Amino acid sequence: MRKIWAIVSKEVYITFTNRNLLLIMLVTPLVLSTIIGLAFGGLGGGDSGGLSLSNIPIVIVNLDEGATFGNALGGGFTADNQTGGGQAFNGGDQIVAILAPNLAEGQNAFGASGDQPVCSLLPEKGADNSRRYSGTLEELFAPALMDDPAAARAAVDRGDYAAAIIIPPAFSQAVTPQFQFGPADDQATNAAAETDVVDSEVEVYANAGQPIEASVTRSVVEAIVGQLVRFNVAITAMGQAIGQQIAASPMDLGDVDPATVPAQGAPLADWLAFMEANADRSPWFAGLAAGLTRFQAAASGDQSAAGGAANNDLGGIVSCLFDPNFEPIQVQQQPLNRVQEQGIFQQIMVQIGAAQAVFFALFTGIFGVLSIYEERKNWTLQRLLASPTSRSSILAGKLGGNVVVVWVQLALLMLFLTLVTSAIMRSPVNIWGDQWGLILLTTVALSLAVSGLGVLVVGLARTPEQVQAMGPVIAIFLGALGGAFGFALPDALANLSLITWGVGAFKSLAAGQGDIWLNLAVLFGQGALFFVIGVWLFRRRVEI
Amino acid sequence: MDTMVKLRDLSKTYRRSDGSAVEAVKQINLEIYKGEIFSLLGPNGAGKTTTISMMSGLIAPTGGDAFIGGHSITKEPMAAKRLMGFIPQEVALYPELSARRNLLFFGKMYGMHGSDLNKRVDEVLAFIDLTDRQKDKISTFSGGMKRRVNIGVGLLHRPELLFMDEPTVGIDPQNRRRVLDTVKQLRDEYGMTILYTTHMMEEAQELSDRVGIIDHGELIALGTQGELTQQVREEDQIDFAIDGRGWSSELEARLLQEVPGLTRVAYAPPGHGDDSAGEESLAALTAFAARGRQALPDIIRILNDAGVEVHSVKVREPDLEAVFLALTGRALRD
Repeated sequence: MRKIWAIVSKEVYITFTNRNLLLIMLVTPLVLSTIIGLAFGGLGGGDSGGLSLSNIPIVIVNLDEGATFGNALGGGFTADNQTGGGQAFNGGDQIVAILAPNLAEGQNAFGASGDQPVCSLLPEKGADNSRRYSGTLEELFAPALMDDPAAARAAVDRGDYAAAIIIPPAFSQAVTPQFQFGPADDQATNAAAETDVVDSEVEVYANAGQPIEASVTRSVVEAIVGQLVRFNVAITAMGQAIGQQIAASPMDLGDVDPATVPAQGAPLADWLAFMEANADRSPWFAGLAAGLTRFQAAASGDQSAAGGAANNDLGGIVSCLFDPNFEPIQVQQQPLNRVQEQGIFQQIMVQIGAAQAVFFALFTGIFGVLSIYEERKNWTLQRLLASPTSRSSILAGKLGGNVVVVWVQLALLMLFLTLVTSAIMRSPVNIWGDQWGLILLTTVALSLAVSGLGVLVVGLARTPEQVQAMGPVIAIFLGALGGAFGFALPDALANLSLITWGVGAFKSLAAGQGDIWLNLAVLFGQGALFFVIGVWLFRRRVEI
Repeated sequence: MDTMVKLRDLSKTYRRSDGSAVEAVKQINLEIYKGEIFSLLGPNGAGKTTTISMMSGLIAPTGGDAFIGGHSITKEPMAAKRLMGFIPQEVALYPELSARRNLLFFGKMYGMHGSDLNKRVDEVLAFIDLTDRQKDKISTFSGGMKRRVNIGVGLLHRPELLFMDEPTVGIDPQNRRRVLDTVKQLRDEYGMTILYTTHMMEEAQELSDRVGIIDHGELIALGTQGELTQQVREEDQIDFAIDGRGWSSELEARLLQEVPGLTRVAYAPPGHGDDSAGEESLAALTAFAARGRQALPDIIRILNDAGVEVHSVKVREPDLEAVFLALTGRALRD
């Protein structure tokens, strides 16, 4: 092992004391990445001319007149805080509360102010017991509110905003569940379903000059509206199914004491208690009670919370659909926003910098292995072979040295790219993310894959001259596939390049995502495969 | 005498791409004794380097075996290699590293480390007289200095046996002299056994206790220099540059009759003989005798008596070149 390490150390020392080599290995990719970053990303990453995916200026016009949930439920259920007549629901307020929490203080889907229904399936949080949608959208958008759609569109046209979000008056009506208990009233249901689609559509009026920002805004609005629509469809379907079932086989209350039946408009908790108490008298009671209980428990993930006193608030349950702590949407939003926090220059430095680093590392990997031929030509290899050092140790030292050299090159390039980005942005930034273990693992996987490719290329070639001709062609080919030159190819082609997998891993890590196991598996797998085949071929060609 | 190296039917056959075989080394058998300088002499391409490469474990023999200190190079290569130092024909050093770093690196390859290694490197640097340049890169060294470091690497682990493969190729006379003196010093002061390959007959003559002559992969002669010249019964050759005006066939007959041991005489008139002396107006007289130095006074006396002026005399004793010529019909440098 000591001898292998001595050979590895010698390789690293010789490589990193060669000024010409350092110029090619480090300075060239660094300069190229910086030039490309500056050309496509502008100076800086915020408001200084480059594209920024944070603080997108938007304006919201909420014309939604709301709807009454209680009516929709046929007057059967009402929330605790309502005094009859159904629960007011305003989907427009819900959208405003999500996109512009600072401007929509006190507003939500179920009330204008004060006691907001919050996701009742989650424990309370915050010293003031207040809850807001805790996503990071407020960092993504710089929202403003307006009352006049025409004025909002004009402001977008002037370039004041990237997009205007106009919520129509009938929006809540369109997304409120439409069903009734009891025999199906096809006429009423169809009438509700036929609400004027055009009148209920949320409009995203985009600024053509800021297509990416507008596109991001549109995606976010679509996601929110989609949640509301899904809720509508689910509740409607459930209600219609129950209504039809009741119509088909009317409930037989048997010997239930009519005095124990909750009054119309009674809280949901009363209905739940009634159904649980009479579960043995009617399969309907049993089914509904169990279903509600299971829903609560499953939604909260906490059996104790499922039995909580506040869990019977229908508004609270609906709010769960929008609470980032409840909905899996948070998992998707978090990394997206991490990237969005980065300036475009920073993003390009990660993308192009990583690609350039791996691209130039390919040359090191291929020509590093070629140094075995050089050693044979200079007779240092023969001198090593004449010493009491096994051939396997010599090969392991040479190839291990190549892996370490490639790794050091990648690590130094990543460090220098970070320093250059920080210098240009005039503030210290860590462009690669803070998942140090995974970053290390990725660089190791890349080093193995790159060196493995080097062994394979040298093993396939019949002479060093062939390697000198083939090596650059292969590196440039993989570089082009992997996006090292600034243009992207279809995934089917790009995935053939180890650069794609390496850059993909670095981009994910920079975005705060840790799900790079496929990338690591591909790189490690490719490295191992190339090493095995390459060493086998190499030993056939070179008597070592 | 203790044997350090023993070769038994050592052979190497290469296959050409057309399937035909080339026998680079043909069943060589020899023994090298401890503490001697053994020269393997032969023209370029004779098989010297192939033989030494098999002995040092660089290439595998296709037949036979070599034993180093009793260890088979094919079966116990590591044990055999620990006993030997290897100084290749080329300067086998890393030009990007300093002399000291080169020595340290190769010392580690022989299992040395720590303060022992550092101390030994200091000793070797002093031995090759490069202590003051130890931190300089090899690429900045002259050819002779590189050769000295090249030798120093081979001496690092104090080997009992040193393989030196044409170590004076391509260096100037001053450095060549230094290398030859070093080889003798290693034998005389350190008792090292040295296998020295060369195509330079003079080096083999100066250094060797025994010589093996190799040609076309075959060991064609083996022994001390005296044994080899005796083996081919070569005579001394005496070359005269004379004023040819007094030369006659009578004088030739008198020389053959009166000079003991003189076997034959050859006369070349001016312009037909060896003009190496640059005296084209002189005739060349070549005499052959079993003991040239003993015959010389009588020959000069007879020539003086006949009025033949002698301008220069050169006595050539039989050498390995002559032996090689006698054995192969070719000059060593052909």
